[in-house]
Amino acid sequence: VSDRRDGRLVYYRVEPKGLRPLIDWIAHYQAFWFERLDRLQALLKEMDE
Amino acid sequence: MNAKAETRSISLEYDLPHPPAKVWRALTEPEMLAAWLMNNDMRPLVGQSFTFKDKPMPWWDGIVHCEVLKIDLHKRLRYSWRAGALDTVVTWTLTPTPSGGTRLVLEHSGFLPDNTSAFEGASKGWRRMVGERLIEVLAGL
Repeated sequence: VSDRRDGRLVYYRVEPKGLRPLIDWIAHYQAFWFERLDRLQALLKEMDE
Repeated sequence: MNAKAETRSISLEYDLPHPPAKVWRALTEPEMLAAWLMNNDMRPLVGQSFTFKDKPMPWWDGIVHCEVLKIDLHKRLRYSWRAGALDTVVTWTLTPTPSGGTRLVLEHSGFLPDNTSAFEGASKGWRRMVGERLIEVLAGL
């Protein structure tokens, strides 16, 4: 949300894109777990060394 | 009509060359868990509450509230996963493979079909922010 003053008036502007990342939690967590499980596999490999 | 809301889940499966006991350590020892997942104060005891902490985001304080729901040593680990308005469950299942490795299955369940509950906090916060800004602006007139 941003605002712009023009004398006595203030114009508010909402950027809907800013709210978009909240929409799909399944997609969010799918990407999250893919990335974290890659890290887990790397860690398990390191434990062998 | 279903009285109980249908939920969705994520399921991922991995074949790892490491034995279950070793994979179990990476899932339950706080230092190891922190190295690949998030900082935490996990204690693998049923009924134990713990948290994962990540970087705070504008829409989330970065804290995952968990409670250990089930422990079956080297076989199964289940905990609740509450982050913001999400109220979900994470289950890890470890099965030994003939080659001495582990089949690791992650299930993250309990997502509401439209995920709308996850929006409430954010939209309330947004309304509050706009409301406060308006009061501030009106006071300045």
